[in-house]
Amino acid sequence: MNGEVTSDLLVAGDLLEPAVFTVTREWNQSYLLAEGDAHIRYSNHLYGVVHPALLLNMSQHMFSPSFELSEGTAAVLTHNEVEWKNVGRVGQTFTVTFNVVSTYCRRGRSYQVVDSMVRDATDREIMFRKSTYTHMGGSYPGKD
Amino acid sequence: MKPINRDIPVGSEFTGHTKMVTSLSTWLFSGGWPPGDQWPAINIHTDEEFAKTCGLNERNAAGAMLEGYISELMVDMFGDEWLSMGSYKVKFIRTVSVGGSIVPKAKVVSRVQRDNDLILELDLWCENEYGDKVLTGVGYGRVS
Repeated sequence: MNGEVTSDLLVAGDLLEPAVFTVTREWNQSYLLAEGDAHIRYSNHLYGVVHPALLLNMSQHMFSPSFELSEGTAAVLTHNEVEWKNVGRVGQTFTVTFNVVSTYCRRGRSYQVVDSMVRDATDREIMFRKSTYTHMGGSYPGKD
Repeated sequence: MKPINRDIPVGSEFTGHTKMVTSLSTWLFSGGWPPGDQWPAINIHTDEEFAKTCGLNERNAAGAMLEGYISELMVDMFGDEWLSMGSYKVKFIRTVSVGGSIVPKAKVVSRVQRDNDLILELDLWCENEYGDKVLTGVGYGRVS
C-alpha cells in the first residue's frame, strides 16, 4: 500500500505487507477457549497443533501491517475458500502474504478478493485461502 | 465422534458440538493478542457501538470463528490428516449474535475413488439456536 489509499480501495495486482507472527502455547490456548475445543492434539506437548481457528483469523488481510481503513469502517468476510496443506505447530513463526486478485460490484456493494498463503519459517506451505471481503461503515463518533 | 471410514454412504449426516457464542469467546477470538491495557481491541466483534456505526444491528461473531467450528467437525471426522489435505468453500449468510449458539453440520453428498483414496464431498453448514443456517458451503476430505 502506498500510504494514500486505504485498503478497501486496493485493486487486482495490489499487495499488502506480509503479516508475521509466532504462535505461543498461551496464544493457542486462548483460541481453544474461544472455540470451546479442548482436544489434546492442540495442547498435549510443546509442539502441539496450532488450532485452525487461529490461523484462519490471523491470515485475514486486516492483520497485514499495511492494512488501513478510514475511521469507523470495517472489513467483513463474505466468502472464503480454504486449502489446508500442512499442520502448523505451536512455537513456529508464520508469514502470511496478501495479494488482491479481483474486485467487483454487486447490488451496489463493492467486493474485494484477496489470496493469502500462510507459510512457516521453513517456507513450507500451511494454508491457502481465497477470501472475499466487503467494507461497511463510515466515521466513528466514539473517537475524537 | 467416531472417524468416518470407507463404507460411509452418501446421505450420511454429522453434527458437531454445540458452541455457545459468548462475550468472552468473541473477545478472546477477536480482541487481539496479547491482552493488554487496550484489550479487547475495538472492532465489529467486540464493541457494540462500533458495530452499529458500521451499519450492523449489534456486534457479532467473526466468520473465522464459525470456520473454526466447521474445521473442528472436519478434523473429528477425517482425523488430524484433514489439516494437511482438507479444503472447503463457505459463504456467510447471516450474522451470529453474541449470546446465541451455533452447531456445525455436514452431509456426505458424493464419493469419488482416486487411486487408493476415497474423496468425500460434503455439504457444510452452521445453524443458530433457531435452526437458521448462518454459514453454508462444501468441504472435501480424504479417507485413505
